[in-house]
Amino acid sequence: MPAKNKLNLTISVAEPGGDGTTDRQNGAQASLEALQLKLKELDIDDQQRERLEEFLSQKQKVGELLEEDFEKLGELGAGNGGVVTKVLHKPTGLIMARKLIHLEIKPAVRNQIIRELKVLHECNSPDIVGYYGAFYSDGEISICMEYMDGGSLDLILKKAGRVPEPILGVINISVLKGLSYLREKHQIIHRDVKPSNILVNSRGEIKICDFGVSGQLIDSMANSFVGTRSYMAPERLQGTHYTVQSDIWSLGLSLVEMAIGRYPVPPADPNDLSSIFGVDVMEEHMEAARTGKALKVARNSFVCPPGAEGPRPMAIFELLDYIVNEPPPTLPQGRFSDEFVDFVDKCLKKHPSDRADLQSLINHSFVKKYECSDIDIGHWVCKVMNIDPAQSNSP
Amino acid sequence: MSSSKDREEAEKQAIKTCTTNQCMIDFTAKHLNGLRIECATTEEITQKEIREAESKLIKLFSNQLVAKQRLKGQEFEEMPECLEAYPRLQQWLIVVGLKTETIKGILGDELSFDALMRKEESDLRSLLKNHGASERDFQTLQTAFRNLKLCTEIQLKGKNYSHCDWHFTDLFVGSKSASGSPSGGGPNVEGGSSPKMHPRSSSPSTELAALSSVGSSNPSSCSATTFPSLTTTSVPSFPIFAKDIAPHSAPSSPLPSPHIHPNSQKYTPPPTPPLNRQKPVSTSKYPSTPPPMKKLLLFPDAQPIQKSKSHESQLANRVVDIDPVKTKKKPQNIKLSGSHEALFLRRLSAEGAEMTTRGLSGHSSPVTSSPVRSPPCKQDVATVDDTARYTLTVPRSPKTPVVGPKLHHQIFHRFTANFVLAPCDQCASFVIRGKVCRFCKKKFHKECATKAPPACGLSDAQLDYFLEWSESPVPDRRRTNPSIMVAQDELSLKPNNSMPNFPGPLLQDSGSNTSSCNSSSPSSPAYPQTSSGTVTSPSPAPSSPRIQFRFPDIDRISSLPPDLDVMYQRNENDGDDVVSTNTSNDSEKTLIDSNTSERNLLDRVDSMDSQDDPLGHSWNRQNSLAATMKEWDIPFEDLAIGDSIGKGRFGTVHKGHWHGDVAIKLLDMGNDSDNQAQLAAFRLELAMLRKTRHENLVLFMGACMKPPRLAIVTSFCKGETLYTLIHMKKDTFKINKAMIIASQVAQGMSYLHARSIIHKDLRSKNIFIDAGRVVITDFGLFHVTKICRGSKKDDWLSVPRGWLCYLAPEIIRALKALQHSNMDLPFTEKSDLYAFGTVWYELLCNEWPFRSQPCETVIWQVGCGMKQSLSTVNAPREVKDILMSCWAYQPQERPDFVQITKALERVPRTRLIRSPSHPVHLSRSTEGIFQA
Repeated sequence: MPAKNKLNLTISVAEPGGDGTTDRQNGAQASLEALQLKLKELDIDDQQRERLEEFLSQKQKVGELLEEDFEKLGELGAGNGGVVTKVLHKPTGLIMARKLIHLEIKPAVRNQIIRELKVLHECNSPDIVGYYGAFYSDGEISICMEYMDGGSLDLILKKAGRVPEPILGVINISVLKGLSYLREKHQIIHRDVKPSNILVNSRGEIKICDFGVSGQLIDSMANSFVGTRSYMAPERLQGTHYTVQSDIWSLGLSLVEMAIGRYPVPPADPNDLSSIFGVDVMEEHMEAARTGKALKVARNSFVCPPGAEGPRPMAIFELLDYIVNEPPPTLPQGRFSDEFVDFVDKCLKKHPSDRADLQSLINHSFVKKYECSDIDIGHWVCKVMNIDPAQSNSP
Repeated sequence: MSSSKDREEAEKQAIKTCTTNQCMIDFTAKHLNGLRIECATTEEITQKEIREAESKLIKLFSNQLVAKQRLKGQEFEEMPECLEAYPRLQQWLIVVGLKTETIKGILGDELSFDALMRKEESDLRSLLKNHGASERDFQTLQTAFRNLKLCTEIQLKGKNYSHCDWHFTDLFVGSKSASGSPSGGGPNVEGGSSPKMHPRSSSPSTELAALSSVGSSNPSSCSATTFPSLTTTSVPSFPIFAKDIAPHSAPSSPLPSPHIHPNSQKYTPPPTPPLNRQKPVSTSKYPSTPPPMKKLLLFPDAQPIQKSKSHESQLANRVVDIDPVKTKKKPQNIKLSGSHEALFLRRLSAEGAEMTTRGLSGHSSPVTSSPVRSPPCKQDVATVDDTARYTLTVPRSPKTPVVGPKLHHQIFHRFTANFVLAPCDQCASFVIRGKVCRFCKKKFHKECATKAPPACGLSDAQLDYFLEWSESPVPDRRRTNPSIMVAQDELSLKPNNSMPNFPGPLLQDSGSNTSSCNSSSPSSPAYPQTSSGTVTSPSPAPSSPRIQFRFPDIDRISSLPPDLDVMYQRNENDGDDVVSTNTSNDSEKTLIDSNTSERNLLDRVDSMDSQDDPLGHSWNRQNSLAATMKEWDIPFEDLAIGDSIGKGRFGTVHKGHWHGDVAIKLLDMGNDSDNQAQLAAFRLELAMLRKTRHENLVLFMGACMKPPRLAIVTSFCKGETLYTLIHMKKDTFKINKAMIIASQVAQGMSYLHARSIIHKDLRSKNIFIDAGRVVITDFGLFHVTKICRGSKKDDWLSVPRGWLCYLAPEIIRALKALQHSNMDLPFTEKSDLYAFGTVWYELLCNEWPFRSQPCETVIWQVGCGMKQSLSTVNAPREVKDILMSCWAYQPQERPDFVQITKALERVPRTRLIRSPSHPVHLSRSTEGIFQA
């Protein structure tokens, strides 16, 4: 259970932990000033600050969140025990993403969850997806978040085939910052870093979401989803104690997947893999980053699990066992910059202690390489997802 | 300094103890008073309650005394004043049950509690007499004080006294031990009882003095007279580690059984001197170890626990029992003679073992119990073997019959005494005066008549054929169904609606369960009644010679749901089926005939199932499917669907009404074409389910299988699920109760397995507890959940919370994220066993194993063979062993449910196992599970 807000950013003048509505309203109001101060502490540039403030002021308009105020506009996806829909909050006219999680719990537990989710109000960072609020209705908890019109990276990956390295470089920086923010300011471990939890929008913002802020929520979810892919670090699978290092593993794995366009466990046939890259890879990357051109992906999606006769889908256990027992995935040499390859290698060490920690990664050359790049993520996103930038409805 | 601080502390502690105990005393005293005044004290239950309450009060009072003693022991000069007030004398006297005037008098004497307690016997007696108390009152007080002293002593010695019974009034029937002999190893008067701390020995024997508010005291005589009548009526139910319960009731009830003397309502016969220590007189019929003198043995090891008739296993059995008439019925007309003899030996197997489990192993694995059994509630001896008998025997191959091949039908002759003047058909010698069968006109000597095989109407050729056929291995049987041959020769069926006539001699298998048994809940005793109805129905004068089989009960038919009438009409379509006996398939279109009533109902069901092979013959199967459908089909309109009572993986479950309270599961099916195949498979499964009848399984009543309206109708489970109790209400189960629940689950499961039904989804949400009885639901329906879940998320496996921990490693390893592949999960009986292990873990620990681990972790760990650690579990070693064996990685290393049941029996327990529905159980003090 992540530690409670130790810095205790009690932003509201009203009593902390009080009733949701008052807390939010008062909190949002009084917080604007307080937050502005807080934002100054954050290492963000002006544009980001401005956007954050804009978000917060819009958030203020939102009173208590009620079921009937929402109108469904579309489906955004599913996973992590819930379904996400795009909704319109009628009273304010804000577009939000609403995640519905079905729970089987007693009222006392439910209140605890809502309480725990309040921490999200305090999580304000350009790298963390915005949070409007949460409420319970009819057996389901709704978590209302900032709508990101680019969607999550796994959907983008499907469209783009592979994500070009420069893009990944920028994404990586955001993610690291977000993780760092969570850890520093809130002592929260994300616990679930994966492409579907990294959201982008047409403005080029990259934000992470769905981090484990409420332990009780995790415990109470009626359904979990286990898929063909797992981003869980080996030490977590083995049930041992885990830390933010597990998030590092997940990040590394996600990067590899996005880079080669395929979930890297079990590893693809090297020949297959080579074939998807052009001759001059770096140029290819840059071009794709600029133009949003889709990149080739390995054909063979079904891979032979070790020891199996022919290709067949792996059982979940086999996959997990592979992660625990077999060597970790790597990026193919020569298809990506050395820094990138080294970065992921440092992330994908099976022993958490061998893995680089956040700080050293932030100082890694891969990060430095793309820190000051002028890659326009927003543009790329729009191209890939066929979004018309003019019509984008990000707030 | 420190010592005065210590003293203060100690005082505080003591005061606190006293006040807490005082509250409890107040409460319990009130309860006891209520029991004495308001309840029918002739009731067993009330007596037990009273004893309980008294016992508890003694303990509480002694707690106070102990607290005081301990304080005294610490060199304090004086007691704080408030402590002096405990225990409260007036209350004590009330609790003991003295008359008010006596109490007033004693109080008037201004004695302190201690002083009174320390009084000499004679002083006490005279004191009481002075105040108008009777001798009995005195005895009660005496005993009460004695018990109190004992209890205090024991406590001070630090021993465990919690399980002793300290009651001090006499109640009517029952056992009892000598008054006076102190526990802690005093000799027991009950010869049989060997409890180490035999509380009863210190309490007066119980007589049921129909009580008035004044508990009459009757210190028992220590003579260990056996009162067989008492044993039969009384329910010895003392919370001792009873080795022998029955014997408890045996000895020493001085009151003779016609104990309802008009006067002796209140008074019991002259008391024997209370302090009579006698050697244990082994008048008990049951061997027992002599009570150890001083040792506190918690677990009797040598003897198996002998259970009384009131033991819940007996109770359970009794309720479910097959018609006792049947069990005693010997085949009357059958004497075995000649080669045909062997054929017709009655199948005796079923009675014994399958008392609790109907529809036994279809493969007629006869347990060699005598046909004439004692009534199912066994009197005294219930050894482990007995429990084996009460459990399901695993079906053995049909080729291992105990008594030779058998035919399933017996067609008895109807004899009239007559002048014969012809050779006897049995022994071939000339008969002058003998018996003639009215139907087939065979003639026999009087003696030979009884020996004649019950094959009325069958020609010799046919008999030969049968003989040959019945000796052939089973698969062959099916192909060459003799009955068909016969049928084609002789029979024509003209079934009509309610009174189908079977002109032929062939017995038809019994109809569907619903006709043979009332569609009442499995525990209803109506079941045996119907069969006795059929037993008596072979009517003396059938209307025509050809009609041998009367449909037993027209009433019964009409009381059946209207749909099932359809069943009878459909006989026309399936001549073959109907006629076949041994290839009875799923279509229970065959009707009950009177003669089959001779047979055990179980036999009938068994024979129905014995060659059940829905996939064997295509014709069989088609018919069976169609038939099943129709028989169990409930028109959707007939269902009165009420409130939703839950949401399962299927869809919603509603309470409803369909000829009674039912639970209706409405399945919401997708419209996937794939579902059709699955639906068909599901229907087959459903066919299996309706054959289940067991007290621990929910009664499957029917289904509506017309998409889009799909519903499964089962009987309504009252009570709550184990899940609710454990996880929501956080009820903790003491080891005994956990054992009871676990054994019932194991029983139900062993039945299912014997029926070749794999539950596939055994978990605490599917186990209901209704007044102490376990009801397992949702067996075999797992695949339905797969049908219904939409396959939107092809890449994801939706894992409901609390599902993974029930899955055996082989299943977990087979989990794939692609939706449809999960139809093929390798469920077996052994995986059910694994799930049972998890249920048991829940019972012991109140949570799921791997509770806080994410799904992937659980999958990987279990798949690798890791198990939840049991180090924090407080349970005896045997329990953990059993649990671990259930969770064995290799399926073959896991036991089966029969073994589980046995193993459960072997687990040492502190107290008698009683059905939790026994009120005694509820009020029992719950201190101390036991030392693990």
